[in-house]
Amino acid sequence: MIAGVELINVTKRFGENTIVDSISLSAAAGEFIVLVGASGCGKSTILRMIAGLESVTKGQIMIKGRDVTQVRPDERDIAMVFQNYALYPHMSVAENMSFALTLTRTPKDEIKRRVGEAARILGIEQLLERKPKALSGGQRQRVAMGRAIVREPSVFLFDEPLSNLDAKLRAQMRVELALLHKRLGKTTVYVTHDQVEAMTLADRIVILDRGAIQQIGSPAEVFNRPRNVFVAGFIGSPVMNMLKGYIVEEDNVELPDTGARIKLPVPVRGATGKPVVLGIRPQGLILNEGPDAVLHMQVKVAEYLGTETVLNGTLANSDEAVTSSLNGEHGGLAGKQIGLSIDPAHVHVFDAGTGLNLIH
Amino acid sequence: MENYRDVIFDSSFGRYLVNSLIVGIVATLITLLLGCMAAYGLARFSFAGRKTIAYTTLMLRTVPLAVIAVPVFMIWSDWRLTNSLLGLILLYVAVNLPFTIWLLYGFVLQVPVELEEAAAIDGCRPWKIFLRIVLPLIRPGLAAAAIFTFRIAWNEFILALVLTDRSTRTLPVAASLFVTDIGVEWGKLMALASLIALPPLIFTFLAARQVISGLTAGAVKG
Repeated sequence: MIAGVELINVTKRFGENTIVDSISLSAAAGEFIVLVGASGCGKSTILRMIAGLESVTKGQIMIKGRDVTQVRPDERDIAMVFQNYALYPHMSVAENMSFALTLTRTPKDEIKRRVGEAARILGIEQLLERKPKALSGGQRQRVAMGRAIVREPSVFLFDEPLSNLDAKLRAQMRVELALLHKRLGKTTVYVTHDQVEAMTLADRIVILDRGAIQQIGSPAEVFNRPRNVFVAGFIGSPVMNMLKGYIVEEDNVELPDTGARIKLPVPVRGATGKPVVLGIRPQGLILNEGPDAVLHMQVKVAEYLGTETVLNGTLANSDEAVTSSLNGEHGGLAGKQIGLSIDPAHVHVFDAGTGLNLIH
Repeated sequence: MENYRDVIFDSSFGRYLVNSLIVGIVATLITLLLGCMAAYGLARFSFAGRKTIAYTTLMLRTVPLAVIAVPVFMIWSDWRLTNSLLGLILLYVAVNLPFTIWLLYGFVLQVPVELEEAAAIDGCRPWKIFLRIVLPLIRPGLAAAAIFTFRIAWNEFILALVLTDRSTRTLPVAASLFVTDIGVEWGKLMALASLIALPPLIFTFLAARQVISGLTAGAVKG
């Protein structure tokens, strides 16, 4: 099957700086791919190279099996939604949406049909005669999406489209985006720094750091089986606890500061003595006031969030920071020392040198 | 009123008025045309010396016109441009261009780059982006620049005095002819001066209607 979008060893350099380092990536037709990473990881640059707004230093970009590396943006069969919407302020909503079609001399009744159809899908029919400045943020966002839909492209590109909306509207637009994708079934490449957007929208997530792909996988894969320390720290909220230690007897990690020994879900063969980073999701640290508690934590701040309470503090007799996320209300634990046991399903071990996950 | 009648029905008033209008309007149009393209180039494309050019163009504007009158007269004489409207127009374009570029440069910088990128994806070639997206959005700047340029070209006296003759002189120069060896004809001088002030006033009103602030509002997040 021909991929919707395919990048083959794509590299981007600005002078001496390598922004994107030989990335290969393939999105199946109809797939929703989310590029996620901290700012400066190259995710926007990748999107802009797919759009044709940025030249490719090395490598190839294919859209529907056609090499478009040297093709102009408008001939790539793509549409892009910008972070700040980029609506043409001197044109009405209808003109904004039909601009691309007028340029290709599409017949008037065809333009009218497509604009009407897109406006109906997005619920902006009553706004068509307005100028962008008379619209709210959410409405502008819809118009920007409408402008993309009207072109009926093979590939949709989104550059952090929701980051300018307030939290409530963002959640709502996220659901609408998911529905829209289901309805149109077009290949989509979506850039965000928000892991919630990534987890909820993506068929597959591409996690980037310093211009290189750290992991590609379904939301469940990147959460449950992070390939390295970076992915583990990036996906999941609150952030995974990372404790320095070393392996003893292949299936235990000893923490030097506290002397605690933590049993691993699976042994790491031939690794005894190896320095590692022990990763434990905050959800895997469970309150245990009994004598068999594995770790002791000095709680500094307890954040009550409704369904859960996030405890921030340090390991007892150590200054290593730990976070625990407990179900229910535990605001009273602030300032206290508590015992914790560990759910092995939430435990990961990473090589202290390479950062790679040793057990998943 | 008699003075106004005398001035208006003077046989050469019509010719001087036409001269002034031609010089003012043509100089303004050429200045805007070159100015907006130069400003766009400076704002959007990177090339060697770009910053230097952007910041030094304005310095040329600080040179008093009287200083360049003599050298320009010599050069224009060589090129046979004295006593022609073209010579005057070229000079006014040169004098006004730096300020226009500088003014429009600021306006172009305020146009979000994303708009041009969106237009590129929508199918605009660079020229079309300039014409359909950038120009409409810097219209207030164009109007302001037009007001300045037209008024300078219309009112300028020294260079016009040096570079014109009986048939090509502009209205300010014509007004000075009322200062004669045997006395100043105050009535006619004042009448003509008042008449000269009218066209720039009308022009400014028309152009100022284009200066609507916040024209790019709504393009990007509010």
